[in-house]
Amino acid sequence: MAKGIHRICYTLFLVAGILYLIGSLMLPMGTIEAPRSGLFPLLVAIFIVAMSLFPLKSSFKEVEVSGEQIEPFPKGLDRNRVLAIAAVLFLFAFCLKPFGYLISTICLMAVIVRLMGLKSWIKVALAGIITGVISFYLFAFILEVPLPRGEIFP
Amino acid sequence: MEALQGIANGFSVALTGTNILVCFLGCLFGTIVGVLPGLGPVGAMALLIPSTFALGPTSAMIMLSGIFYGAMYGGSTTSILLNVPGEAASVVTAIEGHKMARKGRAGAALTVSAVGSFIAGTFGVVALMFFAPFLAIFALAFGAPEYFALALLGLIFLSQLGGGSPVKSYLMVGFGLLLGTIGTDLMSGMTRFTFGNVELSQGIELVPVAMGLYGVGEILLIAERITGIPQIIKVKLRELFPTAMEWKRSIPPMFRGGFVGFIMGLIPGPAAILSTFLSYAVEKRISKRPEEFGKGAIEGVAGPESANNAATAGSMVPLLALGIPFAPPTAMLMGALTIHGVQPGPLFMRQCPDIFWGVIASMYIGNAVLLILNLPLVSVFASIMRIPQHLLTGIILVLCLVGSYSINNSLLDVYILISMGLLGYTLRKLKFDMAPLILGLVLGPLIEKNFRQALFMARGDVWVILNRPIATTLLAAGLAVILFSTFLRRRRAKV
Repeated sequence: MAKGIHRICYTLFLVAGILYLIGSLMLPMGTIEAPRSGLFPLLVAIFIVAMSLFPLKSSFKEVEVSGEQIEPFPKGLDRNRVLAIAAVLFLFAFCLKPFGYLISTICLMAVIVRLMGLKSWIKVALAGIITGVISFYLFAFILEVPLPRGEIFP
Repeated sequence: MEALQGIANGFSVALTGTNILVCFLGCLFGTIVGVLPGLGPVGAMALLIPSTFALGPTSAMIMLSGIFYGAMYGGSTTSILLNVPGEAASVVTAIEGHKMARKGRAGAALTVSAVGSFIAGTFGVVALMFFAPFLAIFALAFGAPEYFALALLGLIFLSQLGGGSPVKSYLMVGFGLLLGTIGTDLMSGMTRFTFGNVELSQGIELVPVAMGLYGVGEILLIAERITGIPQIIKVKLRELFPTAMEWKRSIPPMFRGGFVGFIMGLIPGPAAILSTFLSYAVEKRISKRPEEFGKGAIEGVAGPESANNAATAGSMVPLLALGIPFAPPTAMLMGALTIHGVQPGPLFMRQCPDIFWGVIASMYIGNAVLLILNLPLVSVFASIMRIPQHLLTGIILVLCLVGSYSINNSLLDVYILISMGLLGYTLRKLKFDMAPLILGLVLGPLIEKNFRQALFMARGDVWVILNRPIATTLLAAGLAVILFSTFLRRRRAKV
């Protein structure tokens, strides 16, 4: 199990390294006396490819290489909760532009506390509104952080 | 003499109203972060960098440093009272500290831990005060090859000594270096790997990456399991005083821990964590009562708790004297300095004496503040654990999201934060260490700049670089660390 997951992981690193290598080859290299923008990324890309090839090769051997333990990923409801929170975060980032900070944050907080186990809908709504309003006041007025205003609800 | 003049100047900077307040806030927030399992000092510093925009660079550094060493104090509270280390550097404290708490000596363990942290923290600052200027003068002899070699050595040390698989750590270093090359190449002005995105041409910011890996990633891990409010051992004020025998047994380990911690702090890598294990091993070996270890030996609390505080002072030396961070928390401090328009380096002490000495002086004040905060208010800090998990996770997420947006007012940083959170969660499950990635990202541009300058200087002749004694010694040290730790790992695998 751990070996299979690691194999996928190192393969992804290898693919990323190869793509980065191709990208760095498109940059000007210069000469060894006068290196330009491409040389350092090229060396880093070679390093990533080499470092992912080494454990990838080991993962095909019978023996488990040291340091290859993993922590099991959650299953069932626990997995769904993690995925839902990740999805909500992306949705929040997407909604910031059209809906602005305040509405997006109230909704985000309400969904997060609900997902994290708060049962009462009144408390969920209160947690969302209080956190949203206090954080808006704190950042926009006290710390003077320019928060996104929103295109639909400025 | 120069150090004494400098520290006098430092106190005149640190003792202004604003700086005392930010020092107090940093220490307070650091203690809270130390108490809470999950969000460590790196995540907390990333979280608070945006709130320092309204402050000057000196006040910002004083506050962020306070979080760094304050977390070491707070970490012991939950280790002792709950057997839940709030911070990785407090794992060892839980071994003996919680056993003492179960024997009814929680108050003594907490006091010894706080006093040890204070003594070793102060010892560390004294050593920092004398050692950093000396190293800074030595660093004036450094050129591009030496800086390249030193930064490379830092990455090698961290990857080899981090405790996990070195291959995984090197992959993380590579990924950090990759992220560091995205954006405008400062030497030629050419954009790299931006795919035409104007926002990306500014490069990948450290704050959303660190907040994502350490903040959002940690929240996703917490979200896996919904837990109830834990039962905390209550400590009354009168129970805080150790007996005369307990003091006698604790004082020598505090000094030994302070010394071990400071030396470990100078070495690149997870110094605070490693120093606690080393201090624990030292105390166990030289103890007259080794049979008590594992059953609540007070030396096992005093030594490691002192060590992790002295290590924070030690790890400030390379940052302040050389401008090179060797650990993620000091990388965050460097990131904060850069955001405030200050470039650390060998001339940092001469060009920015107010920041250099102000921060050192504030550490004396901060250690005293932490001692006063941590002893009488220990029950208050422990009760932070009673805050419902759903509220805490939601608030931390909101702070992360706003914090990352506020750096450049950019939605791209928010997307980077969330992506890094998912990456951090997944990689942590696969037992990858995040520290090499952070250090790779911070040191990458420095390594590239000095590497290219060194090649320019040497007209492409690598032997010219290898003929410089300091650079060669540093590179040889890196090679020796790789060979030695590989040899040790192979021997351990055979046994």
